Amino acid sequence: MAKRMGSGDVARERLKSVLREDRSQMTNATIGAMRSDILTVLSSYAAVKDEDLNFYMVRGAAENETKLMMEAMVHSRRRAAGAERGQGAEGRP
Amino acid sequence: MAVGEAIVITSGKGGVGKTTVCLNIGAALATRGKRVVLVDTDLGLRNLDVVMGLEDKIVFDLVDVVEGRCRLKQALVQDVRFSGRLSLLPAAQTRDKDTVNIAQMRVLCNELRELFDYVLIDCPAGIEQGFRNAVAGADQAIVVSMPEISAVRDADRVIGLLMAYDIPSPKLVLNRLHPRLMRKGDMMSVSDTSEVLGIPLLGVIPNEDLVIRSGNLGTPVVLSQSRAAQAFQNIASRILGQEVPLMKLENPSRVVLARLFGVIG
Repeated sequence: MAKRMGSGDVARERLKSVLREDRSQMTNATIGAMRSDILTVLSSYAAVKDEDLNFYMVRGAAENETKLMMEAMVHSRRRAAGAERGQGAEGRP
Repeated sequence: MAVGEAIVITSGKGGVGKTTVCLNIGAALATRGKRVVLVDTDLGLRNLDVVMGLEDKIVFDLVDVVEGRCRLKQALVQDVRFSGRLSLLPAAQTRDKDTVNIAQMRVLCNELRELFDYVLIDCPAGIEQGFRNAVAGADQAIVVSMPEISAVRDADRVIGLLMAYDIPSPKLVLNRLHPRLMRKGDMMSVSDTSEVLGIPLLGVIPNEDLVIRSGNLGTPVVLSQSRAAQAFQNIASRILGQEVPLMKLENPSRVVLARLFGVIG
């Protein structure tokens, strides 16, 4: 972001971080670990950059439900070992 | 006779302006000819009476009604400034939150709905018994917050809890907005805040010295000529089903962006 981060922007980012924990009842460390595991799995099928994987915690229909939404930008299919493993995975029931 | 709507005004966090918002939405609806009762459910920490300037008029309170020491109509205090259309059911000042239970609150709200078009329930801070009582008899909820991390976090928690009480679609009122700080980028924007909370925006209230002065004098803000008064009238219009554009408080580009994303309630 070229523009100077105002304290309002800092507040928004801190708020999002706190709400992620509150809504999911997981710590940001746990969410980070889960995210990194998912990134590892995705990377064996497709080229995904760290910054292109986004997590959102959205309130579910019930009080104790949280919808975890994940958005990943996939750049291209890998042609190396990862892709072969990917095909293998698809073949499984 | 058609029964009225019961709307709880809640926030989780204290000090965000629930009582002021409750009073002024009620007062605005009363100026539109609606019969409104404000119910103070903050047992032990009665406040709505002083903000309204009716503290000398109280004879009976909510607990007296629930425990059968008086009839409901005996406990209602009419605000003469609104031609009898705005009434207050005061909280008890000397009792605990658990003096009243959920079933009693439901009965009370049903009785009030027979008498008024709108029953506005001023909820105590917190998410304990007082909150549960306040929410029990409501059909709808207004969540009051302000663009600060602590207030929005508590609002988020309350929105989650409201689902458990069959109030799945609360509306948001953002209070205490400082346009100057927002222009400087030193306050979260209206669109950021409502997007994060993910509920529709019912209105925005600018922070004005006049709100403090009104509280000092015991006069509703709605009776003044001010942006805050207009903001409360806008909220009343939206409750009555009219489409009113959101008051412009931030810089133009933000407002345009908010409109693009359909944030304007």
